[in-house]
This record gives sequence, C-alpha cells and structure tokens, in this order.
Amino acid sequence: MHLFSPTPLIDRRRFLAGFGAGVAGLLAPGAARALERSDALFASAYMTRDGYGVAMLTERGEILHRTPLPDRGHDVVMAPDGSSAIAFARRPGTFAVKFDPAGRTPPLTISSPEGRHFYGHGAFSLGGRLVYATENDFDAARGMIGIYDVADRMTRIGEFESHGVGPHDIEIMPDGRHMVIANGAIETHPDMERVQLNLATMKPNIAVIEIATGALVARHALAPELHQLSLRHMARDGRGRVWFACQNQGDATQVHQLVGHLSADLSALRLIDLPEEPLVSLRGYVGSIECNATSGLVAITSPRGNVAISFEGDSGRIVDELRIRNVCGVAPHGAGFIRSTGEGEFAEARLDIGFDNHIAVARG
Amino acid sequence: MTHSRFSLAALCLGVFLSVAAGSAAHAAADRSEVIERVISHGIRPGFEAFAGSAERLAAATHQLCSAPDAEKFAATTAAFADLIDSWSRVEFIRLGPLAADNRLERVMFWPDRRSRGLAQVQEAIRTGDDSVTDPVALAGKSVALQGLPALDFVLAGTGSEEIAAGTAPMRCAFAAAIADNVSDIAGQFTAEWNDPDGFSRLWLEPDALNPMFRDGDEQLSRLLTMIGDGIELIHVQRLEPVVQDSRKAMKPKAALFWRSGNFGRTLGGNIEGLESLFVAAQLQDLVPASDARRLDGTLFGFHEARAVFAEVPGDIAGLATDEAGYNRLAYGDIVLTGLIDNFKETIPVMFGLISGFSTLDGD
Repeated sequence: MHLFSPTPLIDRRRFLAGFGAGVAGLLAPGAARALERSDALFASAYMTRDGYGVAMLTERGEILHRTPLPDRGHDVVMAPDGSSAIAFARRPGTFAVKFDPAGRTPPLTISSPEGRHFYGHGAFSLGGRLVYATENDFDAARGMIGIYDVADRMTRIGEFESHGVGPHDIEIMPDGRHMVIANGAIETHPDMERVQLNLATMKPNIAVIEIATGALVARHALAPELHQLSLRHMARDGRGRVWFACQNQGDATQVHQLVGHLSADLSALRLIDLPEEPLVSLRGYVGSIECNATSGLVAITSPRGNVAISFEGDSGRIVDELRIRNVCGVAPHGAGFIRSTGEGEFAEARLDIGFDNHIAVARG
Repeated sequence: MTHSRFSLAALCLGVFLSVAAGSAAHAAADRSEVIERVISHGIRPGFEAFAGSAERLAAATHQLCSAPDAEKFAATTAAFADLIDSWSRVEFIRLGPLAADNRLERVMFWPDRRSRGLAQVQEAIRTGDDSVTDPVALAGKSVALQGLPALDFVLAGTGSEEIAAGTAPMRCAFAAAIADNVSDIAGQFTAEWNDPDGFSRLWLEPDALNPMFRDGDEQLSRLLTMIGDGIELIHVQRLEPVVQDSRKAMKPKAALFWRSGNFGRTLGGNIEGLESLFVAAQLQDLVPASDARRLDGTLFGFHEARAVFAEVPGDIAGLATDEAGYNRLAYGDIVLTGLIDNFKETIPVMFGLISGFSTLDGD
C-alpha cells in the first residue's frame, strides 16, 4: 500500500536528495547519528501520553523526527522523491497533515470538505504532484476519491466516485493510468463516530478506475455469501499483482479465507488457501498486508489474533507465524519485514509510544 | 465527545503488564468458570426472558387482530414495551447466535439512516401489501420490515389508532407477523444458547483450532469487549444523537422507539442487561482486594446510569423544554463514558489483557 512509485522502494541517493542534503544538521544529535547509521527509514502514526503524532524512524526503531497530529492518524504516504509525506486521519476523521519528514518546514493541516470525511488512506500520483484520498460522502453513503494538489497547499482540485461504499486503501498502478480501490463497504457517519451502519447489506468490491477520467474499468467482488468480508488493505508485489486482505464483519464463528490477489492485468480476483490453523489464528481480521518485492514474500498481521504471518506469494507456503501482542504495522525490509505494535514495539525496539496500524516505507 | 482507548495509566502499566501477561495461562480454568457463570446466570436467562415476552406479544397481537378494541390494543402495546425491555437486556450479546444469519439486523434494523427502512414499512402499509402479513414470507423480506423498529411504527406511528378501531386489519396482521417472526428468532436464540455443543461450548473450551477462543485471555477479553462495546454503542449510537451539545440542539426524533415512548425503557434495559453479565462474572473473586474495590466502583456506575434512564419520560420531546430533565440525561451520558473507560481500559489492564495503544477496534 505504500509502494506508489514505479520502483518499489526509493533508492538511497534519491531519498537523501529529497530528505535534504545536510538534513542531519537539522536533527537532534542523536537522531542525526541514527540517520547516518540507518539503511532504511519508515513512518508511522503513533500516540503517546501527550497526544497523537507521526514519527520517522530507522529500521532499529530510533525516532528521527516527530510531527504532532490533531487526533489519531492512520496511514502515511510518502512523496516519490521523499520530500514530503501526508498522514491521514483515522476514519471517520476529517484532517490530513502534510509534513516534511525532516521537519525543515512547518506541517500543513487540511480538512476534508463539508459533507466528507477521510477513511485513513491515500496515494501519491506517480509524479508526486497529486494525492488521492479515500473519502466518504456520508449523507449519500457514497465512496469518493478526493484529489489534492500537493504543490498548491494541498488544494482540493476535484473528486470522483470510488464505485463502492467505504473506500479504504488505494494503489496506483505502475502504468500511472489506473488506480485500484478497496471499497470495504462499511458505511459510517461522523454523527455516530465509528459505528458501522450497514453490516446486513455490505457489498464490498475492488474497483479499477481510469485515473484521468474517473471511469470505472472493472469492479471485482467475492462470492455473494462472502459479502461481509470487508476488503480493506492492499499491497502490490514484484509481479504486479495487487494483494488484498479482508476483515470479517459477519459471524465470527465462521472461518473464511481472508487473503487474495488481483491479477497483474487487473482482470481476475481470487482468494488463496491459507492452512486452517494460521487462518483461524487471524480471528477473521487482517490489519495490514505488505509485500516484499525482493524475496517474493507476503506478510499479514492480526492484532485481534496477536499474530504476524509471512508466506511465499507464489506458493502460499507459510514461512513464519509469530505470536506478537497487538501487532499490526508491517513493512518490507531487506528480504523480510519489520513490524510494530500498539504497545510500542518497532522492529527490535520497545518505545514509550503506541503505534497505529500501518508502517510506510520512506526509504528501503 | 470522542472517546480515546488509550490512557496514561494504560501506557505506564504497559511494560509491567507485558511481563505479567504470562499469568493468563494459569488463569484459563478460572476464566472458563467466569464464562460458565455468565452464560448460565446472565445470557441464558436473558434470552429465555426475551423468548417469553416475544411469545406473549405474538399472542396479544393475534387476539387484537381477531377482535380489535382499545383494551386489546393497550394490552398489545404493553406487551411490546415488555418485549423492548427484554430485548434491550440481551441485544448487546452480539456474538454467536445473535451474530449469525443476520438475526441482529432482523430483530433490530437500527440505526436507520436516511429512513430507508421506515420508508419500506410505510410503503407496505400504504399499499396494503399482504405479503408482509405472512410471517414466513416476511422472514425472507428486507430486514427493515422484520423487527422491533418496524413494529414501533406499525403500533405507534401515524395511523396506528386505526388498529384499535378495527379499521386497519392489514396493519394489525403486519404487526402480528412481525411478532411471530421475532418470536421465531427468539426461539432460535434460546435453542442455540442452551445447546451444550453450540456456541457456549466454543466459548467454554478454548483451543488452537477454536475459531474465536484460543485461551483464557481471549475468553475473558471477549466478555469485557462485549460489555464495553455495548456501553459505547449506547453512548455513541443511542444517546449522543439525541442529546447533542445542548438542550436547544437536541433531537427527540433521533431517539430509538420514540413513537411508542420506550426510549428510557430501552436504555434502562440495555444497562441492566450489561450489568447482569458483569455481576454474573464475579470478577472480584479473581483479583486482589484493591482491584475488587475498583470493580465494585463499576457497579456504582451501572446504578447511576439505571437511575438516570428510569427517569426518562415517555415523551422524550418534553426534555427540550425541561432543563433539569435534559441535564439529567446528559449526565447519564457522562456516566457512560466512565463505564466505557472501565471496560476498555481499567478492567482489561487489571487482567493483563491490554497495555497501550490498542489497534484492536478495527481499521
């Protein structure tokens, strides 16, 4: 979900150019040393006893920089050149904060327009000029994609329909012409905070949209009897497939497959078969999914099941199944993954903050 | 009034509790006993009471329809009020039988944003759609036509006086079909909760391949989450849309069952039902005396909320001109926020079930 450039990860030289030559001089001494020693950088929303924010971290969990947020954030997206990042409010929040990963310039906070709230995710266009945000036209219960001009103080310059209810995650395809949207189908309204208003009538889908026109190219759904599997999060693998992960909003005693992929030509959707025991351990809920293009592995996490699972994308063979309390954030690193928890663990470090659901790769 | 699931206390206790988490294993047997008490003394009696009141309403409605008069209409509306009370006590036991086959939505299609469900009910009455008067056919129709909010309009909405007058036989038959349908669903609840090999066994016997409960932590966590989620739904879904930020801004017609004057009854039933689960659990027996006292403090919150909701007038709109009454209801909402904190932070932390920023509530 965080891989929105033609190359899956930003190379070091390119990122440092964006992060700014001499940026180390702007950081606190400890953070500057951590930056010098780091191979990778990540971003994640968090909470401390003082409030909410978004942090830039090394692969060792050293915090380089923090940007405060007005309320709980969710996902973070990085500009392709690494010069800026945007944190979105957790649904049904109404703010997004554009910030400088190095803290050189003050953050810019914007609000969703009247009648809209954010769903927590977004994506940069390949060139980095625009950002697309999943939004809810809550009086019409209609999913929307808001379009923002990054260079023009995040001015909202347009919108189009997501072709479903409750759009959550977005992927921009490498051709730059198509966008894939996970319409999770859960209707919410700010008047009732996070209450889910339509569980009986959910119809989730994955929509393929032509970016230039907003026209629907294809809409994929699971079998009708799986209509309470909310299609939520996505990640693109090295073969161009878009992996998706579900959250079961229906009868929790029923065990359903929760992970699948959309073919690279965006024409076919299928669930894969995870073995029974790890599948059961997910407790019907996958909080994050990420792919590692280097190793071909796919990682999923479940804070409800307190489990993190990695498997081979091609064969489905489970590589590891880790018991980690309140684990949710995951991001590719090296040939594997790093993970974070709501209890302050980030990779091997334990911090005095709680991490939100996702980790964005700022530099791989 | 945003509720945060994170507190300074939870953060400070985080490291300690992670170390203490291993205590969960030795408590597995205790936790099965807790769940056994909750099922035997809270859940099963609650659903049996609901089934009984559903049966009585069905009988009263059929009698009304066979020979309508004011007395039988009054008996029916009284039976409906009793049904609301018994339903409200169990409606937040949203796992197992209640969560299967859209039963929750069939009994309780709510909230009904944009009044789509209400429009279906009104349309069926306006057109004299006989298909909704057959309980079997009704069970296959839109969930919005099948349950208590629909019955609230049929028995107490515009034109309902024609039932007592005997000039609305189709509407009366619609009410009887809804009552039969709810009674049928209520029977399914009791049968499944009383089945020793049914959902209760899943909850009582944690196992690696159990789809919901791996260990004692998950058993107890589900109970606390269920109670906490229930209180949070009362707060967010039932009270806040009515209370709003001021008396002048309050929205009486956002109140559940406002037409039949049962808003206070449903709130009170909700609280009593959730309290009964907490009392049946006897969690005080599993913790040190200092924590037991804090658990007793939770009972005080339940008592306060019950007292407030017992005072809610049938005509909820009257609170718009009753400052003391409005403030009392708003106070009840504040009491709920304290209870939410207890069930989502304090008590789980007490049992080593959560520490820090929980991502568990979904996204």
